Amino acid sequence: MPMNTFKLNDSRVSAFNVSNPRIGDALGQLSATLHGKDDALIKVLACMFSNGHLLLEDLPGLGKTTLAIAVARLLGLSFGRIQCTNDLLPTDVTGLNIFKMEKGEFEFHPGPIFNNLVLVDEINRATPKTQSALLEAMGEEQATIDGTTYRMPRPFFVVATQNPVEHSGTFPLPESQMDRFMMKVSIGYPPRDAEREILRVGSQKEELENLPALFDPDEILRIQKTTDREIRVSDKILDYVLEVTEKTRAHPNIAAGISTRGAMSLLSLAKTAAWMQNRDYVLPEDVRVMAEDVLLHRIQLRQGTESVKRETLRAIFQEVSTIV
Amino acid sequence: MLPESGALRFSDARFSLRFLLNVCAFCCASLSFFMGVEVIGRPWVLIFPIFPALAVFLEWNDLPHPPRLFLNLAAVVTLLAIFSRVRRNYIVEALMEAILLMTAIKMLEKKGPRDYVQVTALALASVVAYAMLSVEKTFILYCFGLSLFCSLSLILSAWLSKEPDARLAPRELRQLCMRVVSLFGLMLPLSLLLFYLMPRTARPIFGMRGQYGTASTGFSDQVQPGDATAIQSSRRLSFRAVTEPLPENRTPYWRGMVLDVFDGRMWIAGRGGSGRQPFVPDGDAPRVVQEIFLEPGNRGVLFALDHPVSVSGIDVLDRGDGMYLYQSRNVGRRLQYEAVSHLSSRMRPVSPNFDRNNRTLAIPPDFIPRLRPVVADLTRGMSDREKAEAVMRYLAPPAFEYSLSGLPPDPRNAIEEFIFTTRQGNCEYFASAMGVMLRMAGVPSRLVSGYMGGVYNEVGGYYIVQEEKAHVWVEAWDGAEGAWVRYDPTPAGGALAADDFNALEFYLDMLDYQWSKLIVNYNWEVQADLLQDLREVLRNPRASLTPTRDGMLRLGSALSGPAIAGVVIALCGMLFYLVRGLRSRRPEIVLLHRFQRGMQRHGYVRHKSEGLEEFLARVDDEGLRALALPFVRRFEEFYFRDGVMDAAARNALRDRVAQIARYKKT
Repeated sequence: MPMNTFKLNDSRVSAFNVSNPRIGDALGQLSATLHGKDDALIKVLACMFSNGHLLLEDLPGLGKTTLAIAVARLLGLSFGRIQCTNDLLPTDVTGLNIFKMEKGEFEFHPGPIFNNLVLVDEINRATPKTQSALLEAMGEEQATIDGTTYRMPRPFFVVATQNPVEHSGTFPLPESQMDRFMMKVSIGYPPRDAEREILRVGSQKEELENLPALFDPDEILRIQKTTDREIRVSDKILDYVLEVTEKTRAHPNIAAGISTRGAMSLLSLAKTAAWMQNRDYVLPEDVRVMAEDVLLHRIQLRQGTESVKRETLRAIFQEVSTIV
Repeated sequence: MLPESGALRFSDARFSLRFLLNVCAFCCASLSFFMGVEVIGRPWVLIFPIFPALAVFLEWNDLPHPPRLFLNLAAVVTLLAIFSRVRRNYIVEALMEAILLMTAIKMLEKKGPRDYVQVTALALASVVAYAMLSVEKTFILYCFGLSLFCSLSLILSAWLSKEPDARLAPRELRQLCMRVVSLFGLMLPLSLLLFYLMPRTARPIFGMRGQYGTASTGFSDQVQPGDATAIQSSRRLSFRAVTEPLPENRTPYWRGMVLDVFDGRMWIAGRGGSGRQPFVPDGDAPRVVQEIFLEPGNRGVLFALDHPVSVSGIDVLDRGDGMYLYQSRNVGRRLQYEAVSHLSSRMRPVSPNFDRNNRTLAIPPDFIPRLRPVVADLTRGMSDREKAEAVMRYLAPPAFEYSLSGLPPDPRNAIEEFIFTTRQGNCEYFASAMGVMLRMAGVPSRLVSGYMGGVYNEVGGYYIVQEEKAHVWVEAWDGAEGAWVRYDPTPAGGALAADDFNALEFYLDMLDYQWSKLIVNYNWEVQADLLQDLREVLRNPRASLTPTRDGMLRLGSALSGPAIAGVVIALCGMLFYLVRGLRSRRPEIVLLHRFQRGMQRHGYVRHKSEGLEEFLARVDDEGLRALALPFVRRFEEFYFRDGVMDAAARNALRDRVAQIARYKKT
């Protein structure tokens, strides 16, 4: 069988071997069309199998949308897309009741949010009102329109993207709403080899259309259950996570440390990471491989920039023993 | 990569921890036994070897061990028997027997890690006990051997408690032994240095009763009745006197100062006195030798049983009249001296040509005029002795009573008040009154201050004399006999407080005594002498053979109790921490550390924040990584799945670590 082992490019976590055959196959399929996005792919999948929502923060033109579409297709999920603008209304997201003359009654027209995988492009361009409607849907997995509550299809993922550079005419997500995203991931510029490949082949929109669906919604729900219930987490790992959490809270340069929800997210992602590596127990490496993407957007520094935040978190991890 | 399994070689042998521990325990017990063999009773010499021999037999044939309850009961019974024979000259021997017995019984038990530790503790106890008896060259050897075996045994037993089935290769055993020896070598000079340089606490660890009592009664070098209206008694220790117990009918009088000058208010010791002169032994009066340990604070007066004929062992100033002072009056520390006394109430100078007109008759001219006729009536036409006895009768109860309160308030007329009005007081009043009355009657008299009584500590073989036993009595000259005769006019009843020491307090006091004797009294002078000797030896090793021998003897005696005790205490302390450190390690962590050491040999050091997988991913050497990967996987499975590592798994991992350590890059 094709033992596709994918390695993270992340130099700090060099030991991430995707040895779960299902995920290996999926990544094999995806990396043929998405060049040089293995890191992001692994994380997107991990986030989905951990039943969390994803925030992609990157410059335009680096393949955020492509990535989302490819994943949706591969996982066999229905796909909805919301392009945010400042005149986007909540009903544009959730859908609305339309009066049907012939029946003499209102009929609900679901918005794009009622899909398994929803891509919210440039979420920071939407008004806070619309953002709230979106985030409510994310948090509750339901939407209430004119007093009627409609449940989202399961599984339900939101992949939101935002542009870090453009600031005019944007409504940056408040910190509290950032916390609702399990991960914040950057794709980054592709490596030179991968980029050459992209340039040579050109746009692959059609190949995307033809990607086979390797999963179906039921299987994804099953995987979610497996990672949640069947991966063993030793107290040593809990202590490891807690140690890191406490250190972020006590750090002099950190105004707000990791919340309990943050620690829980980290742990469930670590479980998924263990599952993706075909292990039924969690290692400290699993925690660390996910840590930055889970934790960085939840930390607020007293002073300093994003890179200081990253360095601070790395320093904290340097202080914590993996085996005690 | 793996060593070829060929013919059986010694280096392939593996020793189980239990076997090694048994050997260690057996060696410890044997050494203790050989050390104590000359001390303990003959029957024990025959009995003790049976136990270890039996233990070896049981162990060898894999027979069941006797039940613990039975052994413990036997131990208790025998211990009681041994301790019932404890006498003051037979403490250490009994202790030694008890320790050896406990060791022997321990040997017979089925031993867990705890029991091996107990065996070593007992061995150390036997060293301490033996050091109290004697220290010779062989003892040092025993001591050294025991320390090594004990250290080894402690390390192994700590190991045993964590990894009961660990097996050591000869090489590992050798390393362990080297470590023990170096530990010992490191610690020995250190603890000796500490012992000789560190100041010793004057306060014993064992709290002695009455240490904190307010000092109100007590010895003073002058007697002035009436300087206080009420006196509290203090139980502070004044001195201890090691001697035979006196017969029941003889109250011990501890002679301190002779106060022969009276100025109308107070009695003080006059300068000069009658000078040094020998005394004629009084007939059949027993001669008693005492070794006295004087607590600080007695103004340099050296007490001894009345009346002392010589005091030695210290810089003594013999003031005559049986009064001895310490040359230097700076007595901030404990003094230790030896005194010889004649136990007699008569003190007969060799040349009794006594000048009756000296200061022992002097009274201020107009002193209590109304007392003179009373004395004259009382003693008319009597001999010296009859006069003294008459005055004794005059001051006796019920006319005069002993009291520590309701005393005359004014020292100027305290004696007059006492005789004519209050008629109650303490020894100072009675003695002063008698002294004054005798002088009025023309009998030379003087006061002697010191202590009366004391509690005999059977356990330690010494008298405990506390401040509350301070006393003043009278000596009157008997012209017919040519001797000073002791009279004690103070009624006995109140003077003697109840001596309510119980057995435990005797034991505690003995510990306190031993502490000051062994530890505190070991002073800087001895240290300086030792250094001097040492310098002599270093400067001229060959020529200074004789002084060296002397010095070595002194070194030996100084080493004896305290030094060994210090060394042993230090050893115990260090081992305690070592064992605690070892105990706190879990077997999987021990394994991990070994693995890391093995990897370190190949240049790979794991950072503590690094996971094992990450660490392994850093390893460039494919062969090494392949070798280490199974270890890492197995280890992680145990560690992060909270698995329990069984012996087979542990051995497999240990073997894997050994392979990693041996790995050579191809």
